[in-house]
Formats: sequence, structure tokens, C-alpha cells
Amino acid sequence: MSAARPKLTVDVGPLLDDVWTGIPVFTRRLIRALQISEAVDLDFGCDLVRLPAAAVERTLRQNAGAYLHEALASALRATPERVDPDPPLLYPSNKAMRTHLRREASTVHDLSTLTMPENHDAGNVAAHLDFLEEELETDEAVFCISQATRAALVTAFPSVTAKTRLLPQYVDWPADFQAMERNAPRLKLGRYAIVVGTVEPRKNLGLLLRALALPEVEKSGLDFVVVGKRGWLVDAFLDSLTPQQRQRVRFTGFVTEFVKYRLIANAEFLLFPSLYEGFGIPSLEAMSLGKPVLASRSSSFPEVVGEGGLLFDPFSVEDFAQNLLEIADPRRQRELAPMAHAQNARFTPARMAAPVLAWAAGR
Amino acid sequence: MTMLFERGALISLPARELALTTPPTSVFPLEALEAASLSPTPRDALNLVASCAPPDRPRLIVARPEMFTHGASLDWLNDAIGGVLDHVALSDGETVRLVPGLRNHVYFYGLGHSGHLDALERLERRAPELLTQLHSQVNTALAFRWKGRRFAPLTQAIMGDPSALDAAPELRPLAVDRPSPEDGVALALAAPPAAPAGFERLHYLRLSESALHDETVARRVTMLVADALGDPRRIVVWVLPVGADHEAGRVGALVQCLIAGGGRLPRGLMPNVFFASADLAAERLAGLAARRSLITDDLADFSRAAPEFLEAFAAVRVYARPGRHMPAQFHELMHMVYGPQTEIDWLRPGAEPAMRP
Repeated sequence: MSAARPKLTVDVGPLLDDVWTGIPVFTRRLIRALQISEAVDLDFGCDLVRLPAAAVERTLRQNAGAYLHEALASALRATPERVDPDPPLLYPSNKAMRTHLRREASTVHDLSTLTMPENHDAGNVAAHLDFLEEELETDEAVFCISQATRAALVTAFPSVTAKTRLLPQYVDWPADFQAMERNAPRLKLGRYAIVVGTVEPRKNLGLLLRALALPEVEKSGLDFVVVGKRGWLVDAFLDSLTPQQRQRVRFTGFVTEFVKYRLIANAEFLLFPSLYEGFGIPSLEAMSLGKPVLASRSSSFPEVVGEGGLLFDPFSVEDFAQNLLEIADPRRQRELAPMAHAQNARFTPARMAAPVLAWAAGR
Repeated sequence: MTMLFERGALISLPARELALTTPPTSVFPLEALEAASLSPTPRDALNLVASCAPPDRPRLIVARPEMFTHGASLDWLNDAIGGVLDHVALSDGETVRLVPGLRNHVYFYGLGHSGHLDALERLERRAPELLTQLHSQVNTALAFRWKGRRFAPLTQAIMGDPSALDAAPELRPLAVDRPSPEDGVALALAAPPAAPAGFERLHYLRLSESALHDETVARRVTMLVADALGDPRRIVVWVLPVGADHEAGRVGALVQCLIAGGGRLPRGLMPNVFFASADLAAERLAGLAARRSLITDDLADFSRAAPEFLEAFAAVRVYARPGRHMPAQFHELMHMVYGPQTEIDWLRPGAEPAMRP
């Protein structure tokens, strides 16, 4: 049976990150989805250097890049074995190299470096965009993590339209988190909504602060917990917070996956006021725990949140406040919870694996 | 005023321009920006573009066009803008945001700033196909390359309300000190204002900051200045470029241009070469010399040049980089703006004879 399965090499470069958020987590989910499918023979590489499957497996279990660093260093100390040039090669992010094999695909997560360059440093913009056109041209397929990303990509590069395929991810909380949470002491945070993601300008947290000044929001008794590392260009914003604002909006910094799980599981809903997201995985993470989402009516949110939450204009403090008060109502949360679960159920490992399997099989 | 956007206009600005503003909603009326803190150049560009939509039609600002990629968000935008069909992206060259389903136009304002031009060149290198999606370009005839072919969006020429011309901007003699350029700048700035008049011929230099960095332009200008210095019947008036935020920097840009142009210019104040902080009024030009020619470049902003100012020149020469424009389109634009007497001087790197040291 296995002889008939197509082969596929996955570039695991993103897993070299020491701390996994964003693209490394996406890469982990992609590999797991393909493994679960049992429909493809996987091989792994990094910058065309072949890596042992056992090292990748150990890395995936550890959820950190240290083991992979070791494996890569070891491969490079010896005569590096090149990845097999025949099977298709999938990059879960942009290609790290300009050389290419006969069949390659890369993954576009978002085009914010092109459409929002002011939110990135120049080096980051150059790293993403300087070879993008060449990547797209040499790709046989271009995977986009959402319809929004696909739409943004084909607006800027219409000639790539026929190559694009959707590659939506899913949530994969470790199986023991639920039991661990049940057995952990209760959180004493009161009523709160959670915001998850790197704290940076495009997250639009200023809107929340403006809304807190409105009497009806002020009186709602709802606090906000912001989970995520400190990003670029936010120091002035964080330094400008008043003591009153700090009481209502608490910043945890980076937390472990389990702490994030706990904080979401005990929140009333997830707030996602970003101006732009390629996918916005925290929405799905919250809905997987039955938490509705209050998100911007922008980019990927309508397709990811669906009926599992409410959308607002991220520039309108009135629209935001109105929706905030609606979703803060426990009755509304109870109505939305099953829809949130149902929306999350649409994003599965099988759905993520399917377009890759089709491509690997030449379809 | 030509009405280009009959059903109204949706206008976007670079995000950094709205950074100090709190937009009330994602899409809002132009009037909401009246008191906003915008830089002068995009403010002018905004007014210019808005003037091309009928006053009884919507003139709207979209804070972040990139939010509206597809589906529900794009449907919401289309509802919010009513029947508007045209989106005009005001761009500093860093990026151009398109709105799917609308006719997208671009106004690359301030391309005379070298930073904007560099940004546009980067954008063209990185995402040339993006630029193929543009329906038109305002006040430029830029040509872009994609897959070995050149293409240019249609050109829409829009002239705004003329700038009020200062009747008496000061004229002061320029000075070059090759070993110590800053001493030349200081000397020029310290010179008392002059009141030259009655020359036979005026060469009026109105060059963008980008052009001053161009080696070929520098050589042409240096030759012109050297020729004028050898002929007391001639006078050169050089308007400081918009760009540097202080006068010393702007004078310094002129001095550096002359140094980069090579050749030997006399040290110290030049008797018949002057700089001016702003354009001169037509009457003042007439008093300077009987024959007057304007020398400008392809990136100099002309959108607010007063008709009487342009009519004061019998000849106009425009330095232009051939690869930068679609020639016929550019020719037509320049003739429309400066008149039929305009000569395009296509600059080809290396074609210029070097000046004798």
C-alpha cells in the first residue's frame, strides 16, 4: 500500500525557532495533519539538507527548535545529504533559498509587508518581498492560509491565481490540557475578555483603550487580559497607559501554551481588534473552547470567525462598544458558544492536509 | 476643473499620514480630515484629487483599504461607499493599496523627494504586477516593467489651485567652495539679498531634490552655471528644492549638485547666479531678463504652478530619465502642463561630456 503513496518533502526550517508561535506552530500542525492522513510518505529537509525523520519527530514532541538545531548541525558536520530532488518540496512559509527543485510549493501567510510596510522594519520587508515574485514564479503551487491572504496575493500578483490553493489550519491543543485545567486551582481574575497575539501597532489595542473611556463600557465591569510577547513599535504605547487603564487591561507577556489555554478557557470571550490578519488562529483557539469572538470586520476574520462571534468596524469606537456590550451579555455568550464550536469544527487536520495531498499526487 | 470621478471618489493615504489622526470609522467623509495633522504634500494631493469629484457626490476616505480583501468585509465596504467606482491611492512610493472591484488610480505625490523615488523603485522591483492593476496615474506618465515588457497606466493630468506666489522672495548669490562645501553654504546664506534686474537672458532652475542627486543633471546644471558665469548678460535663478527641512540643507543640496557636476567654478559668491526660497511672480521674472527659459525635471511638482508663472517663460526644458516614463504619454503630459514650446531633454547616463577640471 505504502508504495502507492505519493512522496513529499517538507522544509522544516520554521521549526528551528526556539519559541514556537505563528509559523512554527502552523508547520507543526501541517506535518501532523499529513501524518494523520496516512496518505503520503513524508521526508524532511531544511534549506535542501535532508534531516532525519526521528529528529523532526522529537522536535515536534518537544515543541521547540533546540533538537532540530542539533540535528541540522550534525548533518552539516558530516557530508550533508541533499533532499531527494524527485518528490515535491513544500515550504510551510516563504522559500528560504532561491534555488529550486522541479516541483516546489511555498506558503503565503499574509501580505502585510506589502500592504502595511510601516508596521515592519525594513529588513523584514526586504526578507519577505525581495524574492517573493521569483518564488511565486518558480512555485508549482502557492498555498495561502486563508481566502483573505489568497485575495490579497492575487490582487497584487494576478498571474499567480491559478496556482493558489487554500491551506487553512486547525487547533491542536494537547490532549491532556483539558484534564490539567480541570485539576488546576481556579483562576481569580474576575470577569475578563482575552486578547491573544504579539502586542504590536496593527493589533489596534488603542481602540480598546478609547472604548474604556465610554461610560457604558467603563461600567460593564469587564477586564481585559492581553497575552503575547511585546512586538515592534509598542514601547511608547505601553508606556502611555494610565494606572486606571492598567487596572482594566493586564499584559501577561509571553506565556506557555497551557497558560494560554487556561486564560482562554476562563475568559468570557476573545477580543481580536486587529486591523489585519492573515488567518488569526487565536480566534479558532477560542472557538475550540466554546468562546465566542469579537473581531474586526477585516481581512480573514469574517471567514474564520463565521457565526461564532461578532464583527465590528475596527476604527469605530461606537460600533466596537456596541458589539462589546452585546457579547459581554452572558445570555448572548451562551447563544454564540455552540456556533463557535461548530465554526471551529470546520477547521480540521483532514481539511488542512487535503490540498497538500492533492498537490503531492499531481492533482 | 475636469471631473474625473463622476460617481464620487474613495481616497486612501499612506497609513503613516493617518498615524496622528483617529479616524472615526473605516470609511468617512473627506471633511473629517479638515483639522487632521497631515504633511503638506499629501494634504495638497488629497485636495487635488478630491477636487476632481463632483461636490454633490461622495468624497470619502478609506483608512485601511487592505482590510477589504474579499467576502463580507468587501461587501461592507461596497455598501458604505454607495455607488462610488473609483479608488485613488495617494502614495509616497512605499506601497499602493488596491481595492478589489473598484477602478484603482494612484497619485505618486512628492516623487521629487529622493526617498519617495527610492521607495517606488523598490516597490516596482518587488511587486511590479501590482502596478499593472492600476487604471490610471495622476500627474505622472511613469512606465513600469513586468516580464520584460513596459506598461503605463493612463495619465490623468490634474492641476490644482495655484500656489500663491510670493511677490518678493529674496534672491541671494550662490557660492561654491569645493574643499569646504559647508563654508560655501554659510557664505551664501550670509550674503545680503540682491535685486538683480535688466539681464538679457534668464535661466530659471526649478529642479526636484531627486534630480539634484542625478549625475547627468548635475553636469548639465554645472555647465549652464559655468557658461552663465562667463557671460555677464545672463542670470541664473535657482529655486531651492522642496525636501530638506531647513534652508541650509536646501542650499547645501544646490552646492552639492554643482560639486558633483565637476568642472571648476570660482570660489566664493557668484555674481549672476542666485538662489530663491520660492517661485518668483511673473512680474518679477519679467524684470530680471527679456528672454526667459525654465529648466525643470520630470519629477518636479507642477500641480500648483500658476498659469501666469508658466506663461512667463518662452522656452521650457524638462530633464527626464528615458527609462522612467512612457515617452509619448510623458511628452503629452509635459506639453499639456508647460505648453507646446516644451522640450524634453532625455538624459542618458554617460552621454554627457565631462567638464574640464
